[in-house]
Amino acid sequence: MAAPVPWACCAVLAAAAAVVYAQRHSPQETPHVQYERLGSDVTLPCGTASWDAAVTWRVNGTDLAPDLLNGSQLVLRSLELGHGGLYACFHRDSWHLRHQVLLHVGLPPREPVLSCRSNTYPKGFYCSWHLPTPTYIPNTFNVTVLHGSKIMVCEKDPAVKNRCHIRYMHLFSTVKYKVSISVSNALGHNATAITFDEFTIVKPDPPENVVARPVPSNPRRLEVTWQTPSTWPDPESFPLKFFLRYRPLILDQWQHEEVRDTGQESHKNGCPEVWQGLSKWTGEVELSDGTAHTITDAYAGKEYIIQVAAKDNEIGTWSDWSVAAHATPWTEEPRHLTTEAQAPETTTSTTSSLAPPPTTKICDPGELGSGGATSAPSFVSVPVTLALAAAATTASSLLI
Amino acid sequence: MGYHLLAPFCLLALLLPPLPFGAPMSTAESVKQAYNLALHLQRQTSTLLQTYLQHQGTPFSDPDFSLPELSLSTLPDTEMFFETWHGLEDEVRLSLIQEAFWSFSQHLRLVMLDQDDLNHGNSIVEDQLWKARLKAKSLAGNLADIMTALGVTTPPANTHLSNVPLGDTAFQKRCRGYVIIRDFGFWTDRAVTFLGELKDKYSQ
Repeated sequence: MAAPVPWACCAVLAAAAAVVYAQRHSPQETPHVQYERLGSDVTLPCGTASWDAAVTWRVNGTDLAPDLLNGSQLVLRSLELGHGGLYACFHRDSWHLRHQVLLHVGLPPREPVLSCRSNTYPKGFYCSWHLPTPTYIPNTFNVTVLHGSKIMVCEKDPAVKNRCHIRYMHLFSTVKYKVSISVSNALGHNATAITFDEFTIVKPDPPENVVARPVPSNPRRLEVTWQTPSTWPDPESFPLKFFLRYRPLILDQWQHEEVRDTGQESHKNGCPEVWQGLSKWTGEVELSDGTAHTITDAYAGKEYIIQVAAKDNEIGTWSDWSVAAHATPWTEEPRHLTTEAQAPETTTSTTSSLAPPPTTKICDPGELGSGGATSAPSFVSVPVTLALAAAATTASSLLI
Repeated sequence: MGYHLLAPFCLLALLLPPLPFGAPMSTAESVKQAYNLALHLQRQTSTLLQTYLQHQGTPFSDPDFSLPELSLSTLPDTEMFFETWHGLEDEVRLSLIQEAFWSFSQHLRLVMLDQDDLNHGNSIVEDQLWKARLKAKSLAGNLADIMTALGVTTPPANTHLSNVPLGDTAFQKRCRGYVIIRDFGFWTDRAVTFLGELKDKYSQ
């Protein structure tokens, strides 16, 4: 009986020794993953090899110069993104693989940028986030939504990255929402939070399908129609109002700071007043109901660009501008340049204009040239209408 | 009236400096918000009743259908005399309305469950009921917050419905839904009137 015990004992010892040997001398199954900061210095030891062991390092299969070595350790200075890769160290003589490191070079996250918006009021809202600068390594985000002290679920958007959705459980709440986000990666951590009232984040999507059409036999009219954004779930309970703006296409911008010179007559006399006069052919209209409007003061024969924005009647902010519609009012064939002054018709709806025309020198009518055929429409003598005198501040508060 | 109790709060609201961003809403603003919510509700209650009746079949969908004598014991009372109601103190009426809307949010949920049986797949009714219920619950919540701010004791939260009568047959369930939605409209009107008065008091 005494004899089997020492036998078994030897067997166990031998097995243990074999395991230890195998562990010390078999190649690593999976490389060690390591994250290091961009610009930093890193020393990679060759696994458990002693400092004076004779080893060779390779990165992605390419030999590395021995001058990077400190004994058996690889020293990398001022890490760049290109330093990332699979590093392997081998026993110099036997080429036995001793250790592998998968090196990732990146940065800790900076403070994330977080914003929330409801384009589906009163169904819910969503929050989106992003990092101001890349980290080059994987980041994990964690979003918490609090309504007062109640935790709300934020469901990840299946299609859009870095977005999640919250369903309203309470309407017209007087309690603020607080959305916090934390981001972390292997090199660091950061966080931010925002607090807001229910109404302040309401912003519908722009109106859809904006179509502008000329009106037969009406050279000054354009008929515009659009649709409530399809994402707005309950236009009956929460009706939208609309803001329509229009201008001749040849005017560069909505603000007329620079006007492009494309007409023959203006090129000849170099008088910006001609195009400045075109600013009266722009307009803005706010409409509290309906999804159609007829522009009655269009400049005959000019192509117009028209856009519409939407806002809940009472809460939140204006949507972005819709995709622009283009249309030219009806004209009789053949078309001539007009020679008569065209005073704008008074529009039927409230008109608040953009900023008053820039103060430019009023041209000497004598400069307009002697050729009657190319005489400009005499806008210079038409006084700026009251509509154009609206305060710029009103206009800027209406613009997004 | 309870005006004497509200007056110090009115004064306080006037004396306080403008609240910084991030500070909770003042009581005056909360009352205004609750009033706006009640108005929102009021705009839909008649549509809600009409839609409900239309989808229940005869006799509910018959023109001019009404069963004024039918009532539900678990619902807040609608029988109180006009003068009695208006003779109550503000905080009492506030409390009654708060409880009423909490009760309606629960009863409306019951109607949704019944309709899921009786009108399964009908998203029109379900959708309107869901919206009405969310608003009722929201109003109850807003009113509870106002009551807390005014130092009025609020009823314990989450008291659940039990043993609501008129649930034995499909017909009875339809009747039950009708009564709930009808009385909901009544109380909404009452809430709008009362909150309107309260809002005016606070704006003075």
